[in-house]
Amino acid sequence: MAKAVGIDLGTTNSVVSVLEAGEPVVIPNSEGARTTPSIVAFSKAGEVLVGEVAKRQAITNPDRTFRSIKREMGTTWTSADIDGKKYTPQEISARTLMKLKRDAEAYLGDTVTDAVITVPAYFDDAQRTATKEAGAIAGLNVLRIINEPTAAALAYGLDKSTQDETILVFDLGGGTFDVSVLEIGDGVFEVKSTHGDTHLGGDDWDQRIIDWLTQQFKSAHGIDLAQDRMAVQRLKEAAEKAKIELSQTQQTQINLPFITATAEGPLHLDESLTRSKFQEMTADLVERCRVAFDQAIKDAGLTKSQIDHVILVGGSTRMPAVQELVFNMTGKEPNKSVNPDEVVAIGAAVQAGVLKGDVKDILLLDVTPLSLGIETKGGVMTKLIERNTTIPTRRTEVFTTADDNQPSVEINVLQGEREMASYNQSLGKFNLVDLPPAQRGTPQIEVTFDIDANGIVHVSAKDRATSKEQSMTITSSSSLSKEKIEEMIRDAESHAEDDKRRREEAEVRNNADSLVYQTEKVLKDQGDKVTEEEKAAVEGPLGILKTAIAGNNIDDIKAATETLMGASQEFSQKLYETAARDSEAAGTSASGASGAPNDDDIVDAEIVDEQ
Amino acid sequence: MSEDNVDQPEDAIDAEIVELIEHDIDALVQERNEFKDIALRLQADFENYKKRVTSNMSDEVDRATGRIADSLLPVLDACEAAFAHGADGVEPIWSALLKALEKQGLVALDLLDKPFDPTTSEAVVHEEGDGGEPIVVEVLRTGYEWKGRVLRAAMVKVRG
Repeated sequence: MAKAVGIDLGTTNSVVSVLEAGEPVVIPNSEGARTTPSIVAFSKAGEVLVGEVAKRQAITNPDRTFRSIKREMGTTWTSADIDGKKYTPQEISARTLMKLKRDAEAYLGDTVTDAVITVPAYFDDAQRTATKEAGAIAGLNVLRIINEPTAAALAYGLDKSTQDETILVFDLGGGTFDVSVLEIGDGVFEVKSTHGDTHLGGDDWDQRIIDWLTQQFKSAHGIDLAQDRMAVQRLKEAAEKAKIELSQTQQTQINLPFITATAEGPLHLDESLTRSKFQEMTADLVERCRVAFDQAIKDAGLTKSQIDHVILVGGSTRMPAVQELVFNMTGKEPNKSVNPDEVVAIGAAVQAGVLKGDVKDILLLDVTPLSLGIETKGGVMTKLIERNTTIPTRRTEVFTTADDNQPSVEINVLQGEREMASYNQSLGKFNLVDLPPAQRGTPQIEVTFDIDANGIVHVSAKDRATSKEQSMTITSSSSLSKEKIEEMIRDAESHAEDDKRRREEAEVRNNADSLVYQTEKVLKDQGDKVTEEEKAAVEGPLGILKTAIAGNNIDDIKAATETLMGASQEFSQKLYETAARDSEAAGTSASGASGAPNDDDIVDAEIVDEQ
Repeated sequence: MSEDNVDQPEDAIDAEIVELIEHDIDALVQERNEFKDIALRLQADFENYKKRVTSNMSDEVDRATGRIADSLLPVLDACEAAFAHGADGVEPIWSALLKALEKQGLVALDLLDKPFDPTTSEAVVHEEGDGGEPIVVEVLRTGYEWKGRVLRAAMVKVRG
């Protein structure tokens, strides 16, 4: 089914996103990158290169390589003659769009026709028309051109608010800076003001580091690295890396061995840069942001306190100094949970989905807020449906009895995240009765949880032998408030260690219990086939284990279980040896008579009494 | 009172009822068809998604391991530079690291004197040539491929 996409056609980088089952997903390009440089080149052979590839050959082909073409959109600019043709900005932008379209189709395995493309809020009519044309040239059906700050607001779902609100979008990208003030009312966005700096971006922060490194090196060695193309390239890479690291750490090391050489030998660059020094050397850049911000607020006729939401857009907003500025200017924690490099494309995809009616096609589905399950032996909760499972859904598991001749099973329906049943919420209980007498572990009880689209839970238990079934319906499972649910989840997390321990203890007990049962059974059924000593060798550890189970020390139970396990296995081995001796004596062949019985030789069949 | 008079209004009512029922049936059939369509599309979308996730998973693994290999490239660079400056004892270490990575999928690109290809190399220095095809005349920093994909483009000097 042809998909509709959202495209952030940026000055330096472009991003494409698509809605998948109602959720926006950024599509990587054919090189595997989630952003594509907005660079187009016409190679000497007439090939069209787009993205990283175009960037790499730029200096060998400067007249036919175009960067930041967005700055020319809506003007009468054309390129010089290239192989007999002069290109308009929209024809060049179209090449970027074509690559995005092609790569998206390859990735999705589906055609891409409809698109929403974003533009800066200050773009005029001519610029918007040119952008739409670029889309058409690229073979896209442009559903709408929307403003970048609006797209960012959509990505955060701010259009859903029920009141009129004011949103400030702070967009610091690679090369441009834009502050926009939006107002949302009745689901409609209005741009109240925009301001910015068309030549301020992350690259400027990088350059400060490059300049500083060059200066340091000159002072130390008297050599100007700026004259060495290769060194400059390495400095650029290192500077960008350092800037990014300083967003996470207080200090970073810039280490470039063999950066250059003199007659005396090679020289190395090894500098340490602290975040505070970095902020010091870029303080004026941050100041330029503040000036633009102040102006945008003034133009909108607002005070800072009237801003309801702040959104960060652009990778450079990851810098702590920038985030601090935003917080100081607005007094608000900004929205930054959506990747700032991708938020505009994601908002465009959301818009594309709405326009295409995608959101209508798929019924918006709920999820179960908390896990559902039943209580099983040891007071443990066994989950059947994990929390955040999309509904409607159905899950069946087979359970069995804990005791011999157990006449009924109690289904205690639980909701919650704790390991132990008693710490979770019981939604209801019912019994399945009249189970035919059987050894513990034999019956097969199918327990099914079925949640319908309305969140109503149907729990049923069915005995496979008799087909008897009992069930109950719970309507109140989704009535917990959001706060209560979050509290229960937090509770589970903080008690995770404790709960794990309790659950393990319960499992140790259950295992011990089963082993006691098995061993007693074997002793009872086969006891006459072995000597008194051999029997005692098992009865001893058995008694110790039973005592341990009655006590409270889990380690004791574990140890006693292992001891009994060992004794029991030896006992079984003796049984087989005896059986082998007996059948040899009786003249019948025995398979695998020597050594320990191999699991592969055991046939799952009834043991016939030969007497 | 004849039977005819009573039957006629009943006929009219029956016809009306039948029409209403047929109308309802049409509406239900249409709704059913819409839902059926949604169900089929969803199923198809889901299956396509599954296929894509499976095929992308191995890609993702390669990319993840590629990131680790990428983080070791500066070490290889330093070794190459040291070696070029005549430092002793570097070659065996460099060789060991390179071989270990090659076993995992790293390929050092051999680009000297070959036509310049921006898919594998980045031109950082350009010399005017005689107007012919651009050729790589010097490799300033080695480029590498990881599992068939360019991991880091080489930094080259191009003439032409």
